[in-house]
Formats: sequence, structure tokens, C-alpha cells
Amino acid sequence: MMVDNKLRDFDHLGDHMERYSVKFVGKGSEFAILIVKNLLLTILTLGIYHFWGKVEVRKFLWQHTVFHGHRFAYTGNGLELFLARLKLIGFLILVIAMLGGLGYASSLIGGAASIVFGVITAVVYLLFYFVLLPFAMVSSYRFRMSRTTWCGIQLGVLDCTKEYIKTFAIGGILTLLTIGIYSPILMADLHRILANNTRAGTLKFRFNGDGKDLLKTFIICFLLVIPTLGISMFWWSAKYHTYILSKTFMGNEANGFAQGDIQLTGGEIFVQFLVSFVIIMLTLGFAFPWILVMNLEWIFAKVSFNGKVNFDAIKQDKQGMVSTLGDGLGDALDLGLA
Amino acid sequence: MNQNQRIFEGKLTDGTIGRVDSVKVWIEDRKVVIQTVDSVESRTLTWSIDETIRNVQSHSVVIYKRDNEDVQLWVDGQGFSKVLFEATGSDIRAWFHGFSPTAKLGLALFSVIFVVVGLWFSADFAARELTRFVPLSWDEKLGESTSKVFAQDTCDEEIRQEFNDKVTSILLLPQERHLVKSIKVLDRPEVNAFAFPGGVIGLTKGFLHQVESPEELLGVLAHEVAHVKHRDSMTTLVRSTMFAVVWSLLIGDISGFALVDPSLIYTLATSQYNRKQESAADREGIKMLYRAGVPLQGLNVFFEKISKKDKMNLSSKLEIFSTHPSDQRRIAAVNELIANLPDAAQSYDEVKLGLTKADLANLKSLCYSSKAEILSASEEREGEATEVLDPSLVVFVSLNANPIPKDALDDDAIRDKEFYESEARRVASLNGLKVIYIKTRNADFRTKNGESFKFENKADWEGEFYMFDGEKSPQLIEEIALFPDGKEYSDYFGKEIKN
Repeated sequence: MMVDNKLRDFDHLGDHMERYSVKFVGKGSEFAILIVKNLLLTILTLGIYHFWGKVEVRKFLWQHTVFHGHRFAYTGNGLELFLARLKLIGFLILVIAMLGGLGYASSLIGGAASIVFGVITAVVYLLFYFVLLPFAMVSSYRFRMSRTTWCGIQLGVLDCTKEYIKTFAIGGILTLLTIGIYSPILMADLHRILANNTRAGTLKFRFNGDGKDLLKTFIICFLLVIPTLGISMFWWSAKYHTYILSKTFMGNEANGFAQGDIQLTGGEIFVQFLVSFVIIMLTLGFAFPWILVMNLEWIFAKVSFNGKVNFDAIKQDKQGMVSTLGDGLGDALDLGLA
Repeated sequence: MNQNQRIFEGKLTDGTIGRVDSVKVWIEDRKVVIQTVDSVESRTLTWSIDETIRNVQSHSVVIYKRDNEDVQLWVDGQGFSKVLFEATGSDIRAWFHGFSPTAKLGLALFSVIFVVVGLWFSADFAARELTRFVPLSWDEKLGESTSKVFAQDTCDEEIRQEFNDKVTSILLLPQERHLVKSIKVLDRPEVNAFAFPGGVIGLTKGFLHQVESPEELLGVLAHEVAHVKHRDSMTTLVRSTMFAVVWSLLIGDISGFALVDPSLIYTLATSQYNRKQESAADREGIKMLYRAGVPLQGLNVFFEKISKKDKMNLSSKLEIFSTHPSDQRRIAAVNELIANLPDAAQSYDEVKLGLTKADLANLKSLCYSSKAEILSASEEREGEATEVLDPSLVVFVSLNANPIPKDALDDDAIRDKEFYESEARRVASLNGLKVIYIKTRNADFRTKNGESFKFENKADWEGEFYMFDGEKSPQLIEEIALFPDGKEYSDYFGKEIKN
């Protein structure tokens, strides 16, 4: 509600609107060198360096991303990722050992015990997909935000894990039951949870959208998937991201607000994808660093926040954004490129 | 500030608000000195390099203190990173950062190529050296595991130990004889010999059928014993595991370490002895034969013999342990070795060596235990109109009496023929029959004059018959048995054939 009131004020501030742009200034050659270095050191250290290498990749990506003239910084280190991975392995060994022990016991007992074991295994798999996976997603996001600073202000995410898991689980089941039709609503809901709980000091974010607004577009694109050989999904991607960003705001009462914006069409995404794909294929994957950088430059150039925010006055505020062990565990599942 | 020092433009955040101040920065005596430039009062901060964390990207450096990551200094421009590395004593990094991006990339690519090529060529050496650290007991356990897989194919065991002792006493020094645990005969038609880890050597029935003299047998056994001595199976496993682990590391998945489990048969099945190992086994084998006083040509005689015959497909399970099919290069290499040993034994001395032709015949008969039964039963039969064939000679050629011309095949005919082929091999194997020819689907039968021929009765089999499949020169069929449709096997063998 607060943001909506301020939105009305924006109408009067039309002449004083500023455009806060995002850009990526890294070079493909630098990224390629980093990847090669990571590969060599990972081999030489029998995999141990992988975690430090991952941190180097994040530092590269973060530090070459510029918002409103200032770069982001990644302040994490490889040791915490390594320790998190060890804990995750320990956890998985425990689960596997438990399942193994139960399986062995059920085979000895026989009869109904096997059925019970089957049920337990099924429950474990369901827990993995509907609880552990969303937990990993949100905790990974929290972890990375907690290691991100901009102009010395630490980003972070308030604890929204339970809400995220609940939404994911229910939404996931509904998506299955509706053969995917529910997915835009689920995606928007999950984005809302993360956006509404993300902070950069006293700077808040807010998502005002509703996934139902996207249903019609999604259904049309979905129905056109086969006739268009999948090309309609590029159009869907453009519509989705345009909507999501246009309904995302940053700011606070004291320092003003800005609204997200992205100028993107399905055709552009399709062309970019096609060019990337062809180059990657022709170079047998060696062009990957350049392609990634090219795509980051391209997409960030289209993103902006428009409004009036006094960034100089944003205050440091880390309350409620302390990262926990669980966050590290989520990151240890190695979801995503960086 | 030293007048010769380079001063850089930077930005400083104070960690409490989002404001960014412009500053001047320089390095002095392992300290980062920061001077604010745009406030009413100028202030200077000094950070010891040792108490900072420095994130350096080639054109951007961010520095913050270990105990307070919110106060950050940003300096853009390549020159500062070089100065920073020089101050920290990281001369290598300073040197590296002085290069242009293109030069760095070239260096990086060169490193990758160097490492990949180095790994490729040093893999054998590394695998051999690493194998030294693998306990010998692991080879034995591995051998036990793999032997169990082939247990059902193993022929009778009673003769093997005595034979094993004779072979090891010929080929190995007393302190080495424990390396060979046993010699098994596998009831398999392909022509091959295997050296399982832990000292178990496998000889197939197909192989034994081709061997005609003890020196040929000892030649091949010497080669296999050499594989055991060199621990080639374990080295191959270590090498393949090394590649698997490196690949896992490259794709960022450290679960590749799970592959370092010696009992995983599938890992073994994906590798083979390489040419170096084969050559080394040839050399060692020749050395053993020379020392024992066995004529050296046995190995090559055998290689040349089987290289002329059709190669049969190996079971993928046995691929790793198998001796590579012989080729002319290998034969030439062995001949060269032999040429350097002019005082080698020229004839086989059964008395001195202890392994006789009778031993060889006994070994060959291990998987032919039904032969004696068949022959004795056939002699008791009376009133049989059908001639009884010596089962040790007969061979199944085709169940379909009518030769099928190349261009007349259809799917059903092919399926039938493939079924009959496999059925024939099975029956022949079960009854100790030698299979000398497996008819391919494109083959047809012709006399040496080129006439096609139908085999409906045994009596039709007169004269010489050739087989060819359109790709090779016609081959003389020396022995033949017929199973025309509708006839019983026992009509030809005088006894009910195991089926």
C-alpha cells in the first residue's frame, strides 16, 4: 500500500525521473582466462580448488556489474563453500545410510516391511523435491545476497524460508495437477516472496504483480509451443520478464522510489539465443566465456530502474539478514553457474 | 608520500550510508594510504595490506578490511593492481597482470594445451607409478570378484592346478611363482587369452582349439604371465580412474572420487591394455621363454595363425583382460626380439620342460567331456542307416539346407538364419563340437566352379565346397555337418544331443 501511494506521487515527479541503468563491463577474454585458471587449479588440487574457483567467478561477475555507476562486490570466500559442501555430504551420507539401513532391515523382516520401506522412500523423494529443493533455492539466494555489497551497503534477504517452501510445495502440486497452467502464478508468487524480503540496507524491494495477469499470455504461448516448434516460449519469456520487472520497485519513504523496466521482445531473445547457440556449437563450447559475457552485456543494457532515489542516503541495516548454516548448505548444492 | 609513488583515483564507502567519496590512493611500505579529497577537512586512512582482503579484477580492485567489509575502497585501472601485487610481494601476479588481455589469454590456452597433452602422454607413467602404491592384495580381491562373473563359463577344475604348476615352473623364477594363482579354461568359442588381476589366467576353448603345440601354448601363456607380473590390469584400472577423476574435476563434480572403487566391474570393462603394455608383455614373455629354453617362435606362430582367421567379437566384459588381436607390426616386433637371441632353443624338449603334447590334449579336452560319451554310445547302436560322424570333427554350417543368394534375403529369412546360427553355436558348444564356420547372412554356398548347391542330404556332400560372403575370397570348407530342417540331431550323431 505504501508503495502504491508513492506510485501516485511518481506521476507528479515525471520531470524529475532519473534512469538508473545496469551494465556489465566484463570482457570475454578475462572470463576465459579465469575459467582456464580454475580448471587447471581444480585438477592440480584434485577438486578442492573448485570452491575458490567458484568464488572467483562470482567476484568477476559481481565486480563487473555496474548499477548507477558503481560496481557490486562479492565478499564471500571459498572456505565457507567448501565447509558447506562437506556438511552437505555428511547430511546426504546420513540420509543414504538411513535409507540403506531401513532397506536392509525391511528385506530381513519381509512382508509388509517392504511396503513400509517403499512408502518411506517415496516420502523421502517427495521431501527432496518439494522441501529440500526450494530450501536450496531460497537459501542459496539468501547466501549470495548476504555476500553482496553495493557502495559498501550489504544486500540481504529476511528469513522467508518457510513461506517460500510452503508456496513452492503447494504451487508445485497445483502446477502438476493443472499440467503446468498454474506455473506463471507460482513463479510470480515465488518472485514476490524473494523480492519483498530483499533489502539493500534500508532500501527495500517490492513486487506488486499477480501471476494471474500472465495466465492468458502463458496459455496462448503454451498452446503455440508445438505449432511454433517452441519459439513461442521466447515470446513468453519476454512477456514474463517485462511484467515481473515492471511490477518490481525499489526504495523507501525517506529516499524515494524507482520502478523496474526492461525493454525486451521475444524476437530479440530468440535471435540472441540462436546466435549464442550457433557460436557455441561451431566452437565446440570454447566460445562459452565470450557468449556468456555477450549475453550479460546485452540483457543488462535493457534493464533499468526509473524514478528518484537518493542512494547516497541509504543506510546500512543488516538486521534480520544474517546468513545461517542452512544458507550455506543450499549454496553447496551448486545450483546455477555462479 | 614518496614523490616517486604513483597516485591513483579511487572511491571510498564508509559502510554506514550509500554515499561514495572520491579519494586518492597510493601504496607505501606495505600500506594502503587513502586520502579523501573533496571534504572540507582532508583525512587520511592507512590500512596495512596484511589486514585487508583484496579482490582484483584486471581493471577493478576493491579492498576492504578483514574485520569490516562495509568500508570499501574501489580503484579502477590496471596500473593499481600491478602496484598492489608488487607491494604484497606477489611478483608473479604482478608480472602476469602486466600482460595485455590477449597475451594472458594466449598464455592460458597454452597452459591448457600443455596440461592436456602432458596428461595424455604421462598418463601411462603416472598410472604405473601410482599402481606401486596399490597393495597386491587388491589385485587378488579384484581377481576374485571378476572370476565369479565367469565362474559359470569355467570348465572342469581338476586338471588345472597340476597344469598351473608345470607352467609356472617353466616360465617363472621360484620367487615369482606365487604371482600366478591359477589357469582357467573358459567354455567360450572366441579365440583369446586373458590375464585377470591377482594372477588368474583364462584361456578360451576357442583358443585351445587353435593351439597345436606346447610351444605355442607356452608362448601365449608367457605373454599373459607377463601381464600378471606387470600388474597391467591394475595399472589399466588406475589409468582409467585417473581420466574419470580428471573429467569429473573438469565438470566440477567431485563425486567422481566414487569411481575409485576397485570392485566396480563396469570400470574395468571400459578399458583395455594399450599397445605399450602389450609390447612390454611380448618382450617379457620372450625373455621368459628364452630363459626356460622354450623355442621362441611359438607366440608368433600362433599370432600368424589366428590373424588369418576371422576375428570373432569379444565379450565386452572380457575386453580389458584380453590380449589384443595380433597384427603384423606386433609379429614383426617379436621377430626382431627373437633375431637378437640367436642362441635360443630351436626345438621343444618335452622331457626337459615337463609340459607335453598329452598335457595339451588334456587341457583341450576339458570342455569336451561329452565327446567320449558320444563316441562310445554311437558304437553300441545297431541298425542305424545314418552314418555317425566323429563329433570332434563336425561343424555346423547352416540349418537351412538351401543356400540363400545374396539378393534374395528378407527380414524373416534373416531372423530365422540368425536364430539358427545362434542355436547351432549353442548346440555345437554344448556337445563339444568344433565350430569352424558361422555363416553370415550374405553368404551362399558354391562349389569351386561357382555352381550353387543345395544341401538336403548328407550324400550331397561330395567334392569340395567353398564358402564366401561376398567380401572375402572363397574359403574351402574342410568339414561340414548338416542339419536340414525336420531332421533330428541324433540322426547324425548316433546319440541324443544335449539341447
